[in-house]
Amino acid sequence: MDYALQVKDLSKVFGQQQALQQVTFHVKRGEIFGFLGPSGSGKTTTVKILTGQLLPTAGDVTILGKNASKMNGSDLGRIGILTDNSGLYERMTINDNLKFYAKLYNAPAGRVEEVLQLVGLAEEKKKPVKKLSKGMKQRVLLARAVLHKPDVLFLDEPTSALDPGNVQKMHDLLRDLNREGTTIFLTTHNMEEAAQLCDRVAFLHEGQIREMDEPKLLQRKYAKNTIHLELKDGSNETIINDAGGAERLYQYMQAEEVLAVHSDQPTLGDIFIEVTGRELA
Amino acid sequence: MNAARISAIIVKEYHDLKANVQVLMMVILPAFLAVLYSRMGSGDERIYSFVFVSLFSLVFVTMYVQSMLISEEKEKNTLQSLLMSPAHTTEILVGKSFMNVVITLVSLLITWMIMDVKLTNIGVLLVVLILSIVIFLSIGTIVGLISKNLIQTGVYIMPFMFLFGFAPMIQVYFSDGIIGEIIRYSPSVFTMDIAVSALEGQDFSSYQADLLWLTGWTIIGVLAAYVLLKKKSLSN
Ligand SMILES: Nc1ncnc2c1ncn2[C@@H]1O[C@H](COP(=O)(O)OP(=O)(O)OP(=O)(O)O)[C@@H](O)[C@H]1O
Ligand SMILES: [Mg+2]
Repeated sequence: MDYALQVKDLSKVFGQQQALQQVTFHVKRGEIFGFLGPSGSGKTTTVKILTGQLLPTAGDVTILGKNASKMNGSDLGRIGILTDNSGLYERMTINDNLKFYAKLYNAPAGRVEEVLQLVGLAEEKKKPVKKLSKGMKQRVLLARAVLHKPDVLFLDEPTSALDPGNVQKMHDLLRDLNREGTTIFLTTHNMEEAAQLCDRVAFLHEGQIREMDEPKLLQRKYAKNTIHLELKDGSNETIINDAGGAERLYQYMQAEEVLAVHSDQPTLGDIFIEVTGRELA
Repeated sequence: MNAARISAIIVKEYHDLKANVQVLMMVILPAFLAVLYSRMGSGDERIYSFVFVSLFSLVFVTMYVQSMLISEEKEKNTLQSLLMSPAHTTEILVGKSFMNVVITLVSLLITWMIMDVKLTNIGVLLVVLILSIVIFLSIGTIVGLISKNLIQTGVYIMPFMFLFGFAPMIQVYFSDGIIGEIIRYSPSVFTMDIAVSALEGQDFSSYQADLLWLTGWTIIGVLAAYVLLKKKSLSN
């Protein structure tokens, strides 16, 4: 199997604090992998270790077949990064910023205009970065991270500062990029985003992976065997999905009392709470 | 080293400096001093003043501006982006210093034109110019890298500016004591002594030891700046 990322028994300790504990996972080439966890669970720490910005306390971290802490210039040219410590040149325009990074990454000249269109900033490209809103800066940073169509793209909460319209635009951009072969590693505490975008997700809680699979399979695995009925008299009834339940449902339907039937498909957020006993946000 | 990446960094630096009023102001400072000093003294005294004002350029433009530029890259997290890009540490250092060297040279040229000193031993002057530019760039880079933010850089760079800017003067006042003895080994005193000797037309043998010391300082400075910057790609 061709892996973009291989992480084995990764641990990270800051002083007294165990930020990551025996984290093991693999990301296949071409996958969109979501790393979900509440604040402080270790998402950013993981991204920093995967990109070689932080050394692990223990464990093996391999990116594109290479030890993450031993990447050279050309390895770095194959990855794209957007984290909370990504910055832009404030006095320079959006266009000058992107042109600079395009040259640094040896991306074709026309690519700047292309990504500006993709993130919806083509009109504003002559504005100096210091005059931009937070969401606009976030979009410039994303544009920069994808300028060179990296083999692996790391996104640490890429949509946290964006409005729904732009989130949608961003997701389209990421899907297109993914279709062209970019592997995406994304952290978020937005469950809906993860369910929409990710091929697989891992739940991180207190530095440990508690669950990991395709969103669909997780939903199946944690589906409760129940069905909710809304009745015409305004009451609700929960029935078990078995012969006894079928009998009850039959009776209600016979009596024409059923207003609505809901299956019990849990959201990723529900599953997260069930697995970790904690709310995600 | 990759010329395309270095030139990309230089062009970026140019776009950024254009809008950086603070830095542009620093460049004018030595010119004021030059005007002041150009009205005083004659002969050897004039050479001394010229070298002193030039040293001022090296300290206040080259070193100070470099510390601010590096510190700003750090504070705004653009340094981390550079370090995580395909650019090598050397390319970043060269690209980040180039515009500063241009500014320094312009500032020195203005000083020279105002003070109108006859240049002799140009070969030696060039060598000492290159060495001192590199050592002051290195010190500026180091201070910018070790301080946490721009404000801290402004504080940390002060003693260096004072020490290096006024070392030749301090040395005159404390010529006999331990302080004078220590300051004698500061790169700025070596720079000053070599430049003055060269301009006065003295023999190479009278300052070759100084030149060796300055070279040593420069090598140490460059290595330290390189190692520090390389370590910065690890954010912990
Ligand atoms: N440089 C550091 N020094 C000490 N402790 C740190 C450092 N970086 C992170 N930590 C600690 O490690 C833990 C994980 O932090 P991390 O930033 O990875 O969380 P996160 O999941 O990204 O959170 P958020 O959603 O708020 O960004 C936290 O308890 C944090 O305090
Ligand atoms: Mg984080």
